[in-house]
Amino acid sequence: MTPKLPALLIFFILFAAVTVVGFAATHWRRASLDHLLEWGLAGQRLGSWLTWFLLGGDLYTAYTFIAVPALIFGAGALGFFALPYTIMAFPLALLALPRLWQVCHRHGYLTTADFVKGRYGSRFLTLIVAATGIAATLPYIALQLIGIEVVLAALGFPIRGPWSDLPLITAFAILAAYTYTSGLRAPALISIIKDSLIYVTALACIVIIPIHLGGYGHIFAAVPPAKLLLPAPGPHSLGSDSAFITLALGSALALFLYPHATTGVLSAKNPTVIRRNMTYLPAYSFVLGLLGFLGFMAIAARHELASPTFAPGFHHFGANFAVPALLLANFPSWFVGIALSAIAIGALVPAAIMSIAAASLFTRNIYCEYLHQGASEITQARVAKWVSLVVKLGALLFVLAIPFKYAIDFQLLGGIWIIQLLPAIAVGLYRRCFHPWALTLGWLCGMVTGTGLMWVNHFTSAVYVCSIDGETIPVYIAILAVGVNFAVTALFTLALQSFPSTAGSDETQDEDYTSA
Amino acid sequence: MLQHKRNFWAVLLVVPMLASLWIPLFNHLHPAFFGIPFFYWYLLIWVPLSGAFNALVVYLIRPRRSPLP
Repeated sequence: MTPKLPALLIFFILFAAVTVVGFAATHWRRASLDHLLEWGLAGQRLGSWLTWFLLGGDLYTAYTFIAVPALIFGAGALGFFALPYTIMAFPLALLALPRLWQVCHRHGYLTTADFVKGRYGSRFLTLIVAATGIAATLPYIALQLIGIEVVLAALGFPIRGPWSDLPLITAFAILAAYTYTSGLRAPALISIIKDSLIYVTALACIVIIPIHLGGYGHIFAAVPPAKLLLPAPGPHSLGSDSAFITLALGSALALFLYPHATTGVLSAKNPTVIRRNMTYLPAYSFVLGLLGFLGFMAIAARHELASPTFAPGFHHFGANFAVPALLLANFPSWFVGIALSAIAIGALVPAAIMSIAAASLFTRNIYCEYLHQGASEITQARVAKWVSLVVKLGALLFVLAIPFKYAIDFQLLGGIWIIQLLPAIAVGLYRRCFHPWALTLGWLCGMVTGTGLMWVNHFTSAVYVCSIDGETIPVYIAILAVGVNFAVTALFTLALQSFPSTAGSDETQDEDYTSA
Repeated sequence: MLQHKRNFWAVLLVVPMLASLWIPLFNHLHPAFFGIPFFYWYLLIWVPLSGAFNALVVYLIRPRRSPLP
């Protein structure tokens, strides 16, 4: 692949524009960025529109836009679990997240681990929540880097060679610098550019590529019939129905437990903004569904995509190169530049928010708790800024050091880990019915079950095939593991009721969770 | 108390969830729309519909001041 000048030029212009906006964001709604509330949550002052752009930019990452079509390219209909996933996530969020915002606002909590500390009065449980959040976020940042790598390869930068990592390192250094100076303000403003570019790209893709391929009828006719629908349940199997349902349910329950998602939610200025957003956010899901069709378009265009031009990309990135290859094959160079920039900027926004979220967790719940108790606000902000750099450096080394495939495996594992916080955080928002020690033990059993089943699957698939009574039932491992977690938590809560002195304190009141 | 009764409307949120998980309902090729099999356009249509359900519930359960006695 040789770099085409217009594509590269547009890419550099847009990247430069985003960089300027990122640094200039310091001046936007100016306040002292020496406070963690200002640096990490943009002062909790974002209105409906900005929250919409921010959460859209945060939850629908570049990797999503590459990986969902790639999954559909490979697995067909099963990949569309992404739609019921988001259809379920927002109603759940609509009910639970305003409560989280209220209680955090009332008590000055900046992270979910802060909330768990206040709710359960257990230092160890707080540490677990913070550590799980950070561990699940790191591979997620790494995947955003891979999104940028795929784009750079499509733009014609060398995949291998002594200098091949240089463009990625440069892009990431710039990102790290403006996240350090501007905090959450940078991704909040950049997300407006990112989302606009994504909408334009999606619209062009679903109109122009089908014209080249002879219409949607032709595209779907080219797809093998086995991939078009979920296989019907047979006499001894549920087909892939159970996988479809559990993947959607597990992903929906996990989504708002991720630290970057709660950071986005907590930066809203009031709970009404959050509720409203859950009614507009499906707009992004609609675009995601349309982009899912790119997977089928890639199947229909497979002979064209088999050309030697794309061979190195497919060889290195597998199905994840399908979307860039489709773009290169169907659009003039200048528009390829816009589309690839959309994906690359789409990686920068979530990477920034994720590193901010991980840095806040580390600062509030590990540094202030164990390393430097009573750290001043200024110290906290300074530590968080430095940790955001360390986190990004860690993700960068991770991507450069280990093969591409493992990064994806770790991300699957991260999803199974983060859902283990469901009993402590989601149930905790409604009732303090679980004992903190039982939650700790439940978490441990859930983590061991989830990681163990992934190990049985050689870390390549998050779906475990259960055999019960000769029936084969494929189930998303996160659901199995969180089921074990809930069972153990409930059982030990009952057992520990004989020891009321161990139950810990709760500094929150019922009315802290609802608006006054 | 009144707010408590209004919160009951949240059960409406179950409708889009069931509609998008009841696989036998939509695991079909026909009727196709613009060449897109039923499975896909059905799920896609439920995305904005779910947004509409969310908006309806947000409206119905919005906190209101109770009238003075």
